[in-house]
Amino acid sequence: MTEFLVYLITIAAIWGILSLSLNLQFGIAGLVNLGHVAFFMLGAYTSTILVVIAGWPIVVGVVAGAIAAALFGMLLALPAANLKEDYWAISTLAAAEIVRIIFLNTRLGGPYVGEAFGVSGIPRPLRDWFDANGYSLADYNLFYMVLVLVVLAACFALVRYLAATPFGRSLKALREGDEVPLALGKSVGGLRIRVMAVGGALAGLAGALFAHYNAFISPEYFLPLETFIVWAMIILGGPGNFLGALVGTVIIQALYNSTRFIAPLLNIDAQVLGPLRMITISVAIILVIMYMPRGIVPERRRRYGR
Amino acid sequence: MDAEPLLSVREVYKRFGGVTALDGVSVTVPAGLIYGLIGPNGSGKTTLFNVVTGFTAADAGNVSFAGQPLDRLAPYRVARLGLIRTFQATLCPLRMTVMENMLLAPQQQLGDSVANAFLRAAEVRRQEREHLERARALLETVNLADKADDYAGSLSGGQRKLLALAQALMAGPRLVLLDEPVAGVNPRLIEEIAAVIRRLRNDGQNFLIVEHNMHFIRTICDQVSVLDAGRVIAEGAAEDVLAREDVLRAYLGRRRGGAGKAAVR
Repeated sequence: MTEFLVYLITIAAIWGILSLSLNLQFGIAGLVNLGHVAFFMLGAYTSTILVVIAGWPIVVGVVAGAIAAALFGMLLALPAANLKEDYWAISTLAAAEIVRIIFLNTRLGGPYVGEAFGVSGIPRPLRDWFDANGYSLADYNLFYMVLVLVVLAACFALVRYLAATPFGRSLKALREGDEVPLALGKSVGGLRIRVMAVGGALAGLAGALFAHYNAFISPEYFLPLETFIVWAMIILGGPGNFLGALVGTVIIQALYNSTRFIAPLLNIDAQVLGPLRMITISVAIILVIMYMPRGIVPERRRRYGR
Repeated sequence: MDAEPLLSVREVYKRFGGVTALDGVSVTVPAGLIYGLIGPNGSGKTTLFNVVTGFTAADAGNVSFAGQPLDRLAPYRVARLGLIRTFQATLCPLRMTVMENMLLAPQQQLGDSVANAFLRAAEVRRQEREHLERARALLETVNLADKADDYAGSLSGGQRKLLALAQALMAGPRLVLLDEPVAGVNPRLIEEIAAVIRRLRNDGQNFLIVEHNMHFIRTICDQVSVLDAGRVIAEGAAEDVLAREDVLRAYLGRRRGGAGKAAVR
């Protein structure tokens, strides 16, 4: 049970970074990014390629993963910056599929590496040190959980801080239309490019942390469904509230992962399990939209007082 | 009079499909006064606003502001030169508070840069405090001080017009362009808005105002241009122009539709 909890918290923390980043883009800036998984994938693959194939240190790989995803965000936003909401949504969805299909068709290093085979044997940070000093795998996993939680806390502080700056305020103005920000001298395209870069960097960081946790990645981890799971977390938790994004993440991950315990209790066939997860998540979303349209933790008003 | 007009619109044309919205419009707005732009619905007033502020590209003609050409500048670049506009349908972000709306407006905010938000945090905070002070003073002027922490979405239509005005002023513009600042506002509030605008004019603020309310125009504008079907049919001192019969006929005739036309005849 402890092992499962450690796993659940680690996964929830990694997805928590993803949902913080999407919340900055959608909850604050109103960008309907349907290609969020692309940033996650780029972070995971960049770090994997640099560490496994090029032999660089893990820290460098993780940082490079975040940077690669940030650059991809800017690249994506450059031509799309002035598109309207729905066109923006479609172009991000398409971009994510392009990224996945490129990796699906690219051989990395030797045969059976890359393409649909994915990459295995991704090293885990400080694993050797833990082994050498007689710690068990369970101890190591506990360490990794704490590491990811620390990164999550830093990301949480970062996005909260950014949202409270004049930059964050300008982003907030964007979600209700371009006219007023433009009339007040805000470069709307520039703001979108920057929020895609910052959000992209966080999602890339999450991807790199996932790769070095799971030790194996393949394109099938990064299907468009993954993006919608992150969306579900935000809609459930409360768009525009970062704490809400984390609450939504914990709920969705718990629902997603605990079904395996419930199945044997209720005597459910394993084949039904996958669809059952999706049904549970869907019902949760419908209920929240019906009864708490602003999410479980609604956006808070910024008061300036006297 | 200054040799250099504040805003100069020269022979501007704009067509939307088969409709000619602006048919060679020229308007010169001198500094130091409240300039009115009037005309019946569909006469091209808002299109002219959009052309001046960069939201719509003109087919021909040019616009210059304090000697600087504005042609083909993006709207945000026009704004940065000191021309701040409001919108007919007040578009202030409704899910932001009144104060947040106000703080959007100041130009050249250090904290608009992600890097500065971290590297020059102290300066950003100091600037923010200054803006907060100025925003409070402006909200006081438009009687919205007690609404500072309310969502803009909770304001009445008239209060939103006031917020849009205060927001435009907060940007510190050389020229404020108001698109129907009193449409749908109750008469008592109209008097207040007029008083605020007049006081600001006396302090040296320039205004260009599009409005339908003739009484408002008459009491507030120093000079006006009258647009009809995309052409300027009259211009000059407000009381002279508004007394002209052809102006009233163009205006009232269309405003009141068929019955109105019969009444004028």
